[in-house]
Amino acid sequence: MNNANFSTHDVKKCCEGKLDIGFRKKSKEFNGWFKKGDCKLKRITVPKGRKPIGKGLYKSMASQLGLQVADFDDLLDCPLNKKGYEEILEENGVIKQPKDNNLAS
Amino acid sequence: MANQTFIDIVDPRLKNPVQFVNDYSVALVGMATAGYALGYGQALQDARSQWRFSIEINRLVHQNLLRPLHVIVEPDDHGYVAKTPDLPLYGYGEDSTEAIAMLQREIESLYDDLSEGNDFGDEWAYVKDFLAKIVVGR
Repeated sequence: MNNANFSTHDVKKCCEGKLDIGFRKKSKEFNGWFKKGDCKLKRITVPKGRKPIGKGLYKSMASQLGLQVADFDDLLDCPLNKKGYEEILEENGVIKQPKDNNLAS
Repeated sequence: MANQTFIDIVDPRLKNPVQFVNDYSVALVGMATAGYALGYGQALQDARSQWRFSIEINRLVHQNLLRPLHVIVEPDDHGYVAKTPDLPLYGYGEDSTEAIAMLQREIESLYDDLSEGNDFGDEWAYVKDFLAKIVVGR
């Protein structure tokens, strides 16, 4: 778990840059939705500021994105990009592939 | 080394402060003074990290709940995390009160979000239905 390497600000920036999550400052914390097309799939909340992240908070944010901690590490470090994240959500059934109706004869 | 020995004696999975006092007292009797001096602060910190408590909340920031929500508050490295098993949300704060207050804001915020439309993934249908049944305006 790489929670010690990041602050809440880093998480917010990563979600904005990689996952195109638009955070709203409605209250005392940031929250935003990850969308696939027009469909809102995952909601993540990030505390404001540049606070260090404890293990519990790190796991909570990872869980909100539907990620294991190792995948969340990859998302924040570099290896995992938006396409890779969507593939994980597909594997977990969160994103459903449209059925192919054009069957080869 | 003395520190680790002291921690080994005290069960790291303690969830009960009364249990901690009982075990800690037993450990103190068995330890040398130097070991006690070295281990005391670390043991308390480790014990604190194992403590968690649960409460029930009956209200949110601007709205009430028709039935209480069970909330578990756990210490984290730099603060506290509050969660409810019923919802995919958390609250975080430097103290437990702040964490619970954030969770209340989050529940209300999610309720507002889900009330705005139907463009959500399948997992949110249950959450929306759940919140619709328990959240009521003041």
